[in-house]
Amino acid sequence: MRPFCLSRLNRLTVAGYWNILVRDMPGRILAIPIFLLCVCVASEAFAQSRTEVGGVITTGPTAELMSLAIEDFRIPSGFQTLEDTLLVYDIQDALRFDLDFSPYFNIVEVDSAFLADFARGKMNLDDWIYLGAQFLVSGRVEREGAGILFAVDVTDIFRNRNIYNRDFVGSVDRRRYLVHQAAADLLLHLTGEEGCYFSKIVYSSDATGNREIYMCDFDGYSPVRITDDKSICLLPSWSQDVDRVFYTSYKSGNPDLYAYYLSQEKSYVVSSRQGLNYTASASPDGKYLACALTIAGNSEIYLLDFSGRIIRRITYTSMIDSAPTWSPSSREIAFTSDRTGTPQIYITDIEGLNTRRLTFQGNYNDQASWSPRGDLIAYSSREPEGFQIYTVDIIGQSPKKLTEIGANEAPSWSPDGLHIVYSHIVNGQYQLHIMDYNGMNKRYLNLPGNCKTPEWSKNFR
Amino acid sequence: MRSIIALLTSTVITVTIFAGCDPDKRGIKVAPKTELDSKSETGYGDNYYDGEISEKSRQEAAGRPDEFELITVYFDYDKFELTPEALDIMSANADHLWNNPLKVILIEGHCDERGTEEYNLALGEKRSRAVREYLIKYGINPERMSVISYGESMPADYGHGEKSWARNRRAKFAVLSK
Repeated sequence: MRPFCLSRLNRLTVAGYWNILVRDMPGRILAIPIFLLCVCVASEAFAQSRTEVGGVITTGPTAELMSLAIEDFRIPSGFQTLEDTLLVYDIQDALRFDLDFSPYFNIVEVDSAFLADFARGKMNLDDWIYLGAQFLVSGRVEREGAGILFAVDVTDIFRNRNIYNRDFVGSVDRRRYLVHQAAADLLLHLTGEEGCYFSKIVYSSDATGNREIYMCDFDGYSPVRITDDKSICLLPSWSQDVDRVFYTSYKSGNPDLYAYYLSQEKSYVVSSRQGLNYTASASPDGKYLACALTIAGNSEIYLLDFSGRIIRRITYTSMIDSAPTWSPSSREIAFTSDRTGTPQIYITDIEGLNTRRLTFQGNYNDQASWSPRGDLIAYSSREPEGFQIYTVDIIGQSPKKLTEIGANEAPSWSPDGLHIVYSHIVNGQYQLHIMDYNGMNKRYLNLPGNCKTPEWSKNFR
Repeated sequence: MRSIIALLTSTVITVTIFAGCDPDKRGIKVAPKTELDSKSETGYGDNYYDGEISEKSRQEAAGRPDEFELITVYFDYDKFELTPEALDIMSANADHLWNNPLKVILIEGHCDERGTEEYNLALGEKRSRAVREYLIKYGINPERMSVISYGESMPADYGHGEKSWARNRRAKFAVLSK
């Protein structure tokens, strides 16, 4: 749309200057440099409109999608007990989950006729081609001292060539971690992408009867409660070094902002100003903490340092401004404001200047989350039957609805920008779900209690 | 000082939670029980506004100041302005605070579950501040009143319908000291 408009503008300008040249012959000498200048400015503007994103990165896969077939793991001869057999199947299932999780990989389903052939031992590589597979993944599990060795092997079916073969060693108890290592390494090998296999999700849950802060792996495994305030703990978020979780707790009678240090397993107060200290968001460059405070009489956004000292106030309205989220460049903040009467998403830079409205569709938009790839902002938009999750590009164009069923809110991007975690609400029950950047492949995380406001970390390690 | 306030707040919260279990011991004692029952059918709280209540409670406030409980104020959806009904209630509450100059109160702002957690916290704060502003204009010493927003985290009614939501959009009073 935009390039078309600009090229039309160019054409009009050309026509206009042609008229000047023809009609006003004495002015010709002056007109030619002006004409050239004009063309330069127009093409400059055109170039800027294309690079507004700040790079060529866009949300979505940056390499080709691949179809993988996963061969059933063979039970090694040394594995006698049922426990051993289950261990092998467990690892196979985990690998399948991890590879299927990545939008780069399409896992080919094996049909029964094929399995019959496979059981008779007649299988060869060509059979996999009929199923639509490009690569065949096979795995082997062996005992290695007290732990296990997990070998992954990938064959390019068309070229009939082994393209990947690596061993991973770990303990039986941490076998899921072992599989994450294998999946992350394979993804890196095939696509050059980091993935999000070593990321965690923080959220608040009322599983104990009180709302507390929890942390789990990206796949919903190993949930850990990190607060024990027996009060109300809300709205957790990560620091960029993934060592701190910021959250708001009522434990001292006021909604104060705390930082929980994972390394020390201990919380410290960051801001305990009278009124709300909430929706903290750490900048990607690790310099600032954007946070909403109500010390000025209503909710406004401030930049704090990590000890809680106010560096700058960002918003100056008599209305609610809250829920900041950072652009990957740490130069801009998207936030929610009801300055026009309804909550909408706005973008401003860290000086509080160049504020512009991002969302114009819907009358209640909140909980913005800026994609780590920079080009999309996910948010919750209220519809008659509840909130739904949308993404919009950073000039506010082409909002896309990603959820349909039930109510869905509080989106947060994965560190690779290919997934979104959010709260799915049915009958007043909050459950965490994960979907791809485009709304495909929704899956739930099996976690106790009503789980709200998830936030995805960067990769640990 | 801070820990004292915290202790008082938690005591008050506990007391209000326990009081919530027994509707008889709660609320203003002006409406006969049958009337309360008929009110609960409409889905409104035990001390929800009724045209007659504010007049009666005014008398009540003058007669037995210790027994009087400040009346909860209800709000419209996504609004923090006091409704005409809320203004009536607030004038009774203000009278009571004026006549009991030692009472120190905490005004709690609450919201229904429909908004987002973030926005509701800010809205709850606006509601409690609107109530505080009213009392300041009436002449009550601002130092006697603090505000807190619980957003949607402490509903009075755990239901998911219009009636439950109406009961949850409220500013509630907790007495910190008499």
